Amino acid sequence: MHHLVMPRLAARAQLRRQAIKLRFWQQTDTRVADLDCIRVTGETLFVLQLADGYGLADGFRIVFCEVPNPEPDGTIYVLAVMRADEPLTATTLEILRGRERIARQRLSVDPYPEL
Amino acid sequence: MTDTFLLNDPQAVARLDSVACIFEWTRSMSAPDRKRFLGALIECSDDVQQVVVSLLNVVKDPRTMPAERKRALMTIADALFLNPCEEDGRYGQDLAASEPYAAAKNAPLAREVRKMNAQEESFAARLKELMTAKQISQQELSERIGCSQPAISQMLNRMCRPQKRTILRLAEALNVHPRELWPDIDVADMLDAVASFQQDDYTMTAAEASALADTAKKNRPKVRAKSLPTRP
Repeated sequence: MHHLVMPRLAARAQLRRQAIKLRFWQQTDTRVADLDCIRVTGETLFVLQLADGYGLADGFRIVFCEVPNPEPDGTIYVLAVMRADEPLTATTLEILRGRERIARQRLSVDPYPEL
Repeated sequence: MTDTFLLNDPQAVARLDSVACIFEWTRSMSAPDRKRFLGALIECSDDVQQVVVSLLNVVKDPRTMPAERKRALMTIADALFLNPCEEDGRYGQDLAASEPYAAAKNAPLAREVRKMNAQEESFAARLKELMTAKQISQQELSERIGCSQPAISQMLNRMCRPQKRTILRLAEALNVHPRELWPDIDVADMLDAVASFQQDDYTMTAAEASALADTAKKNRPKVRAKSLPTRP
């Protein structure tokens, strides 16, 4: 039962499969495939809620934001994966807002500038 | 007069606060580290610099929890020291592309990916068979389990790995045992049990404590040891 030998590796792989469901996400959706999705009140941050914990937690939250470019589909940035029982405190939100700003900035950086 | 001018200019005050914060933060650093930190900070845009300063304040705040402090420090490191993804030189990791890339480098992960693929393939085939046998449409099934029809279609096309809760709902809707859809469902149950035991505020029930004691008795380590000679 190698699940228990390397629970983190298995959990990460499965979490990634869940996060990939975000490709079906639209801003107004409250569900993505079989996952619940909410917008953090007053923020441009969204939370995808996983009920499965993979032996590590009672569930997880995937915090993400969307940037409009490149058009037409835009890009979704996963900013954090948190345990479901971890509170979204004011400090955590400040950190997540910071990550969001950095992600938005990074997107404007062209890694292949045509010089 | 300069002081009055500065205090009346909120932007100037904010900048001075930022400088003071950065000065205090770098004071304990060695000279090379300070130079590297400041060099990286100067290269950032104003927006990113503001984020770094606000997060330095988070780190210093005694009310900040250890997990929050760690998260803030990781964010600062990410902001200052850009690490382009080794796959394609871009920033951040492409989730869809990262799985095959990581699996190619990591044998245990590759095994896990193969296992997940096999589970999803078997699930999709079983779900299709059961829907055909019971003559249930995707729309009808989606209504029974409270999800959208596209979600059912995505599961059948292996584009959506179901959560355990979804498997249980599907099994109920199709009137079969969950193991018929997902043979490893018991493993998920065991993992959930392990996770619940790990909760700080979890109190074991009497039945659970008794079951655990019984298991411990049955699974005593079988170590052969020589008995010590009796003392004279």
